[in-house]
Amino acid sequence: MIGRVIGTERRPNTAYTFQFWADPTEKVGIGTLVKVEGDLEIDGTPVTVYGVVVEAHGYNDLDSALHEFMTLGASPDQAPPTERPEIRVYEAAVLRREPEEPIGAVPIGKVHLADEADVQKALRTDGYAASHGIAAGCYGSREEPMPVHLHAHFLLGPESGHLNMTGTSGLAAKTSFIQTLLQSIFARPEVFEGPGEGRGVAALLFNTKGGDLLFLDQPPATPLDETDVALYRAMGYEPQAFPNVEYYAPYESDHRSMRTLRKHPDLSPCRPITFGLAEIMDHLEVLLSRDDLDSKADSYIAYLKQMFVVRKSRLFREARLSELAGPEMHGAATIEDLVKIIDLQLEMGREGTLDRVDGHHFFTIEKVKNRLNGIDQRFKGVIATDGKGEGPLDAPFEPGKVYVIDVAKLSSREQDLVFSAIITKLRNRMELQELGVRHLVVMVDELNKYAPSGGRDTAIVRSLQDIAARGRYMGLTLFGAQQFRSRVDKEVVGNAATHVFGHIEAEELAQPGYSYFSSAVREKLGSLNPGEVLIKHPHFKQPIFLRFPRPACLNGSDGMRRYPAQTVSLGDQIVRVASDKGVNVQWVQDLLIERDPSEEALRRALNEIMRAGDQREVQRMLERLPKRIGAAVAAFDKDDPFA
Amino acid sequence: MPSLHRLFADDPMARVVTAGPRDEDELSVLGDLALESSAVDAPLVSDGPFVAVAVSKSDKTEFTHFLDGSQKTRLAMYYGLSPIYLAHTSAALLPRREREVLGIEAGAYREEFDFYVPSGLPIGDRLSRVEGIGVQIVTAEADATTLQARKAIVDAISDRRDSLEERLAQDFAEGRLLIDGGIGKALRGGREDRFVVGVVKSHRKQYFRSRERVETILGLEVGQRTTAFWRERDESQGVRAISFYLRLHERDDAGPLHGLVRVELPPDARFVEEMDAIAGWILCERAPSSLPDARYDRLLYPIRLVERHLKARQPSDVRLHALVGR
Repeated sequence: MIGRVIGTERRPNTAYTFQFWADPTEKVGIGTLVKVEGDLEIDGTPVTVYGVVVEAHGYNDLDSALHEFMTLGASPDQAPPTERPEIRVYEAAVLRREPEEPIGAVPIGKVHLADEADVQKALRTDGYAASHGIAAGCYGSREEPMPVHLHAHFLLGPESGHLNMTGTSGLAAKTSFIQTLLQSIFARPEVFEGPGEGRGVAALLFNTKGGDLLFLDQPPATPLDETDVALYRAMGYEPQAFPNVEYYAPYESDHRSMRTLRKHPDLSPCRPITFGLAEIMDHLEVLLSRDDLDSKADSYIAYLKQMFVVRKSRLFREARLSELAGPEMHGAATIEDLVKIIDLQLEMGREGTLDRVDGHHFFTIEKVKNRLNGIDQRFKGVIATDGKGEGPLDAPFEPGKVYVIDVAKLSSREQDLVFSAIITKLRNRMELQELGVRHLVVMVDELNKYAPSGGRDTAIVRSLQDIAARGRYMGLTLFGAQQFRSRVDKEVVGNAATHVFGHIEAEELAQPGYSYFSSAVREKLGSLNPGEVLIKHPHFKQPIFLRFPRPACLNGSDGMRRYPAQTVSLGDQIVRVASDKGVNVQWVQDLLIERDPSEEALRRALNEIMRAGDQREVQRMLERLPKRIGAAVAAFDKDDPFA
Repeated sequence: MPSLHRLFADDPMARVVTAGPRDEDELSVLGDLALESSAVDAPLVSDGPFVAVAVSKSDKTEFTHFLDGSQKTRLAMYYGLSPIYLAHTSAALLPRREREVLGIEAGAYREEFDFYVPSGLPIGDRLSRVEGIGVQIVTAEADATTLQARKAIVDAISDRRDSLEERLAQDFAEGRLLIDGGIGKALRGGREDRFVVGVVKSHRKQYFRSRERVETILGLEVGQRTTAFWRERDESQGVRAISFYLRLHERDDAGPLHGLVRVELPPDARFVEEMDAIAGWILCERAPSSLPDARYDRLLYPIRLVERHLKARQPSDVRLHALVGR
């Protein structure tokens, strides 16, 4: 027992808050869970109340600072023979009561620190931890961590879903927390089996900064310390790097190598992600200035897509013009093709002394042409050269796999395009229920950039709002993160059922959205260390402070040191992938020397074998490599000791 | 449990009254007004003049225990014109270890809760039906006025509290005890060898008469004491004790007794020797201050802590109201 509940006429206890005193030496602080045992019984059941400490007060019997000053004769180092007795009074918010009814004021009773069973009861995890619990971290001291579970159905859906995390960049460890949570999710595959659509969970992450998420499949540079290992043990699984990760990145502008920092012969290579013309047409608002896209331009772009991108058509829709242009069918696979078609339309229209074609004025057409011109140059490497996009969304997602899209080396506009196109595609696949897994977790950082508050109506905001509103029913779960929660679209934040807060700056904490927390909790949020979070979950009546372990994978900066980016030939990449899939290295090297295929053939082969399921499939694919006629350039690095 | 109001509902002589919860304890006011002056100067312990002595400065104190008593009194009812009081009396002895005055330990607290009824009133039986509260019959003259009856009750309650303190003090054996008040009763039974020191804050009884004694006592400066004198044995104060006046605080705009206490020591030669050191310890106990208590100039902080412990255990105003029943 550490203290007793107190209630005075001036500050009585209520049904939802209570106060208790405790000796200053007791291990009680903001976020501590406590249990109150009252003498009261209701229908033979003793009243027990669980609460979380949200405020702490400490005082002695001093009435005025002046009295202390006078006592000590202005000598602060003086120690009077008697110490003033000091007491701590804590305010706690009720988490749970037994019996549940009636919801009366908290009784005057004995206060205990919560043990593991009490923590489970207080947070209501006792009802689901075994069947649907996902360990989010641990409550309690470093020496005695007690796991705290989130309910899978409320974290990923369908009951509720989505997670939103707020925290200062660099201090809040947003990425680390989400990595650990994903590990916890993957550690319990049985939760996502059984009757229902699809099975298992996959995750799609965007790497937006440096090498943050580029080494998830590698063990950490320094072993986890005992505290972290103990946390993992308490959470119920052994720490390990993500075993199944696929990395994607756009091409460099020369379309030869990948635009990523994950380029090292010891690492599995990144796969390409590009977007075809149809996808580009859907997201021109990302590529062009908002002012360019008035309703007339919008209409003409839709016309171009329908006429020449989705299918081939005659040059004009109007019969009179169509006769003029003749029966030839036109289709566009690239921006360049499309601009040529526009030129043709303008030319023929002018020959016919017209000022508009198919209802679109020349001024509008000129304007759109003008804006489209050069897009493929500005977005080189992101836009497919053959009009056909590549990437992780071409095949169903696999359970237990993490898909990382590396956009860190892209310009802000290029990032927007990739992000917008992927989110929109995911939404479409979600609608068609073609995700392939029961739940796909999409982690989106910098939400205040992609879904800012203030009512901006863009495709990406609409997609995120839609996913936030309906995704949980369809297996698409958003793990959003941002530095400034107050600057994120309310619908996107509001639809998240689980909220996590790391270290937050005072300016952000001063926003009205944080008034829900007591001032002490806000103060603590302002000084949280990496590895500590405050978490709100539908099953918890109050937010709870938790500690989570360091992710069991290589972080970005260590990864960059261990695997500095270097040019890896296509041949070496093929050898590496084939070897990972169990194919004999020597056999692959001999094959490459013998066939000496073209660069294009090598790239195609690499993409294919990366998608291949097993060793035999890889071998079959490689055997199909065409032999280059009249060339003798080795496809792989001659300096490579394996060569 | 029947309340007073119910017990006496049909008795035309009885009038149950309710004092406000914050009303001043009128009996303690009454008690403070009672002063006794001395006809002669008290005899000195040693030969020599009665003078002011500067106490050697001490930065330590060796008191290990502190004893005080407390009372909470309420006028409960009148029977005819006779007042009946309800009083909770208590006493506690608290140890101090490593600068911390600890809570009340087993056997170191005593309390009584009683009605105080002037003798001759036919209501004792009815009052005894109030659960958990005793009845003390206070001897009063048959024709005593209300004021006289009250004075008798004041004395009875005070005696009751003193007896609680006395029992605790008599049980004390190890350490150096500082008592709030005189030590005469604590030393009864030949227990004069124990280290017991009393600090008397009130000056209801004077031990000086001559002009030079008055001048010496009232002229004491902070940190000065008087020559030791004998506080003689009497009924109300118990066995004889060594005593001296000591000035703890001084303020130009306060009365002559401001910061003046009278210290009592057991009548043993070793205390005469240690008198100066003990005075130094008491001066040392001035910190921390007992402010904002109005008696901060004479109330030593550890004693104030004992008082606070006692007051925390007194029955609440709500409970007293419930007992009275209206």
